[in-house]
Amino acid sequence: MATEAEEIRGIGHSVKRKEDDRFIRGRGNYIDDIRLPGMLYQAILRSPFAHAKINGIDASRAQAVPGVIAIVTGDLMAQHNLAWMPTMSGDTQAVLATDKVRFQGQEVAAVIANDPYVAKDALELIDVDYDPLDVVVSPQGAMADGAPLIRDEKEGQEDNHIYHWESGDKDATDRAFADADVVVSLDTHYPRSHPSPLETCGCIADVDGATGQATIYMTSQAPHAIRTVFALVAGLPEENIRIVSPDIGGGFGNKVPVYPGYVVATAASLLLGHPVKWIEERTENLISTGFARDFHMHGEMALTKDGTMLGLRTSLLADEGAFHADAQPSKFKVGLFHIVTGSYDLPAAHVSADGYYTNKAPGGVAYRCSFRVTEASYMIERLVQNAAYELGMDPADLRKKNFIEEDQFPYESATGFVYDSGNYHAAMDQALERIGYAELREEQKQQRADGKLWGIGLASFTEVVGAGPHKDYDILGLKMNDGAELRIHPTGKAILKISSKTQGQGHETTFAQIVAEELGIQPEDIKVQHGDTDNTPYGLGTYASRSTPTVGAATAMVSRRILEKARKLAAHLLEVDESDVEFNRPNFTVKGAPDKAVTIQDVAFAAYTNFPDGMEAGLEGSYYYDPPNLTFPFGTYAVAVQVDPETGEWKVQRVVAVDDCGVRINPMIVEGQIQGGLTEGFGTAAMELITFDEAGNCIGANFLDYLLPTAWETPRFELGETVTPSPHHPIGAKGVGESATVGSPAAFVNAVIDAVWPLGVRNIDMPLTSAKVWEAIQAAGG
Amino acid sequence: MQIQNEFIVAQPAEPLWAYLLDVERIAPCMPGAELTETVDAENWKGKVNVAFGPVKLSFAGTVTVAERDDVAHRIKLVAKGMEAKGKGAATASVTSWLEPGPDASQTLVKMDADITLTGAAAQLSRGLLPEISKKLTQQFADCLQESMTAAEAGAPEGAAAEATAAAPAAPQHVGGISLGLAALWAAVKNFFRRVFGRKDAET
Repeated sequence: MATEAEEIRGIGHSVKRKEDDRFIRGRGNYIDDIRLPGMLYQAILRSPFAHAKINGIDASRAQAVPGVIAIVTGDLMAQHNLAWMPTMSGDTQAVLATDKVRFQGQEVAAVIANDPYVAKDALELIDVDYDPLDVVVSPQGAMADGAPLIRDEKEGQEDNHIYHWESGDKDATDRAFADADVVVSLDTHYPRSHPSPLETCGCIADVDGATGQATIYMTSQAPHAIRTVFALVAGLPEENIRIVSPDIGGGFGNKVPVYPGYVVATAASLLLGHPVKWIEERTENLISTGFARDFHMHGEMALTKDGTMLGLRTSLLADEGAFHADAQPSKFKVGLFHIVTGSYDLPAAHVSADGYYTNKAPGGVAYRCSFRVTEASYMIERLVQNAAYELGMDPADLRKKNFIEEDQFPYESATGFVYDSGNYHAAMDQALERIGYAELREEQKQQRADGKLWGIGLASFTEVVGAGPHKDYDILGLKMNDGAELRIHPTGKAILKISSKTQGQGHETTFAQIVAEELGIQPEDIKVQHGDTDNTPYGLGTYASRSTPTVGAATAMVSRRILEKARKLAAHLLEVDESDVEFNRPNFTVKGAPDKAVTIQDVAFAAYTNFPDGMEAGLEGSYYYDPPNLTFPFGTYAVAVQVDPETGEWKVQRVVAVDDCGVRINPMIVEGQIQGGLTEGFGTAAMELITFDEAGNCIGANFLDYLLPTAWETPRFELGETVTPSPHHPIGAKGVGESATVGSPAAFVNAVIDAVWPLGVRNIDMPLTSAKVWEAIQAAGG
Repeated sequence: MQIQNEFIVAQPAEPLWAYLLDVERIAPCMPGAELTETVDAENWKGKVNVAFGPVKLSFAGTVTVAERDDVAHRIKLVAKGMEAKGKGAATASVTSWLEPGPDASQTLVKMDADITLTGAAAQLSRGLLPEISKKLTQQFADCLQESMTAAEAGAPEGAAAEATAAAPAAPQHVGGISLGLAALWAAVKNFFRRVFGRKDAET
């Protein structure tokens, strides 16, 4: 029967998030909410020194504390061949230190007790005899003559150098620079920051000695990849490993890697036969888990005097910390830094990079970005503004003169990416109009004449997300193709099982809307399951804005696969040939006889009750999506600031953000993502910093020292949009999670630099605290 | 980390200088400090206990006279210590000197410390450490004044020893929660001064 149903709330509907009901009521289910019978608690002893030899560990006093069940040391782990573990970038990382500690906060021992407070107290009774060694806290220090060798346990490692890597055409780039009228350069440090999710990392390892079943509840953005890594590292049979990621309170890349705490808890559970829970404290999260960035960058751009870009050259120093544990596709040493040519038609580019070990926390993660995209985007957008000033051009005009034009797509960049689609002028024009760019520039002249410092900054970023095509992308050999399984129940409701793992992105809503769009089942009738490896298809997880480009595509494709069978069932019910069936969601109708119709719900019921001879029962399917290309979201951000020349304090007057992420599935969720990303981008530009003193102490070990933007400091954001669909994605979506974090820091910094450029200031390294802005003004003689 | 402190003692410079150099006599006035051994006239061994909220730190180490100028009333001490429970290490180079006070009967003691901390103490908020140091210095100054006044009031011989004996014999962890809270309160006040601007700061 045809239904004049309410509109299907598929793509383009701002459906309220299904998951928020439980979160708002305080009924979320996070790791620390889970309590298993007989559960023990783990606490980790960490190194106070950045670099020190361990002469010995005496745990006898701790062992004697009532309630302490076991003390785990590196020696114990070594007996099980687990003192070291492989990293995602092919290096090794200490699980518990045996020979020496290499960064402050490194895991040295663990206490397992029947009470979390007993475990914590017993840590103080473990006596470690340390011999402090000289400390290296920067790549410059790491390469200096006489620098201490950090990785002395690695055979053949004679210095602190990890890798040298190059990409692009060096000769062509050199020729471009030889032909240039103008060369501008920039040296800047993209500081170390931390993703700082609201919920810290943690796990419960539950290894059943009788069955060999290992169930590990874990704050993981990539449960399937973790399962395979555990199988390979711990030598456990993969069918016996079940990783469950329950509700996660934010990840931002911090919950991608495997941390020593997980491995120790699993080993302890295996040895003790009890579930072992480990919940990280805030300081532990800040000092030992995946940091982000810490990239020293040199960039040069070659131009003609009329402002045509000819070439781009960058050289980079990566501070990798004590163990090279970047979360990145294995093919690229510096991840997706290739996007450094940005939105511009740059005929030649060359990138070189060197990574170094330092006595700092390991595990650089892509904090709400695709690995190193944020740094690349920052570099090009800073350089373009500097180039405009050198040429005496308006930065907006120089950008527009060099944009890749709409008719050039698909566009192959000098570093080898094929950009899928873009309309850079449209986003730029909208941003300029909304902020009133021309009027602001006029007003700025007036203000300058009155001795006031006003600045306007732009960033016209292009992003690269959605890793990725199997021929180019893998992590530890695992291809980055993700799956979706869809079952339509007899009553026409459905369950969608996906390989991605939401940490706040709204997958339970967005992915249901994709099915709704394709099959005409309302999103509230579709349960979306994720995060349990026993009950979801394989995939590499959620980070780098890849869920919509990969899993979103798989969801659309599996829906279409099911639709094929649904058509056959509809033809059977309507007693017509399949070729006469039309689908007009939620109704299947007969060509030329629109009154004759059955709904998707009728078809679903028939799949279990009334299907033709020879047809398999049921209405379900699965799909693994191999993206034919990456996706390239873009946008223009415009920021206006006022700088106080006396104090260096800067205040944001306006922020206009025009984003193009292709088709928007749930516009409200997209806007929420952009609001959050802009806030984090503002935090990066203005205040967030993990730094180290000369002794290797982490400065930024708590939220008094590591500053996050709160509602108080965060400016108001005005959002705009353009829509340029991805031509190769089944629903034209590109992914949006990281766009604003990637694009916005350059816009904020460009605005401040724009304000103080006439005083002679050419660069201020982030974060732009008022002290640093003031110092720069003083140094420039302002 | 550089920390500067100063305090005023109601004593002329000469007797104060002599008193300050008598390490065994002034040690009990140092909050949380315990002199365990006098090696010679320029080297001592000791312990310092500091508690910052729930974090208790106990440093054991040495103190050495690096420079001493009795004419200028200037002394530089270098202290090195390891935390007993492996929570880190501390080194401090402290230069102290005397200057004339606001009136003739008073002396201004100035201290310039360069402190390197490793481990748990260093991870505590840096913004609080100058506040803690200020409070500890004031405790020291009060104790010193009291001790010298008591020494003067009593017989020249023996009374000083009594005053010293009256000071706590077994050093406790100095501060504890109250010190942590006082320092935190001072830091919070500073924060709000920054936020609300100069006008409120003066109130």
